[in-house]
Amino acid sequence: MLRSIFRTVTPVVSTFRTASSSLAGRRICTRFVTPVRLYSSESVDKNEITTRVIDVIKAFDKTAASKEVSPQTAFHKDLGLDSLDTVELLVAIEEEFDIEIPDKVADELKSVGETVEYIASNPEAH
Amino acid sequence: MSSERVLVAFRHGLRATRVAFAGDTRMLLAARAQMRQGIINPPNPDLSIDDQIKHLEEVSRFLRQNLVQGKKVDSGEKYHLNIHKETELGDNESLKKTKKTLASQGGGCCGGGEGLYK
Repeated sequence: MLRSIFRTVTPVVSTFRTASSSLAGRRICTRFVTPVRLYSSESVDKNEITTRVIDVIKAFDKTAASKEVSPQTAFHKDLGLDSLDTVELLVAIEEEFDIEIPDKVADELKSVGETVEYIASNPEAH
Repeated sequence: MSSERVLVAFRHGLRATRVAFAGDTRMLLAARAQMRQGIINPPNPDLSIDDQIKHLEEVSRFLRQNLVQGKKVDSGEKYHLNIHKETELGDNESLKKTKKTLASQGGGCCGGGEGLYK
């Protein structure tokens, strides 16, 4: 829609060279900005999600606090959590973001990265 | 196969504790620890796995619908009850219905209720 407005506006100002060139500059600018705007309309930013997920993991009393946690960290393999711990941890993460992860999805989440991906894709997370 | 169902039931149970014990961290953690313990060492080891899973689901349902926590208001005799949207609230109509069915099922508790509700 913005584009069509610019299209109709451009011929009118085209006699003023400087004005039209500054308009053209703006046009590029808006195009450049659009994807950023889409990104920020996501409920929570991915880096922030990662930090918060890692915070929940560190606060979870069954994980060794000294262990490094990165998006590649797997719950079972790297953190040594058993299946019950993993369920507990995911419920704690659910509470942090105020969402409910459907059972089918939750059964498949095995690492920090996968969990972050899911939360980023959930529009209700905040 | 059944281990997955246990995990799902456990997840439902954990969520139910959040509903029942919101704002009471001590009970929340205790209930969760107990639930976990109950899965590792089942309280009724004679039951089949299916029945035990069912039992856990029933516990979750009970926590959500039939348990209400109260908190004393000030120093008086009043309690603030945490009745939430999942709490089961019967009305007078449904109460009457229950009575009827109890009597028709063979006389209520210990068979002593025959002819109690006519």
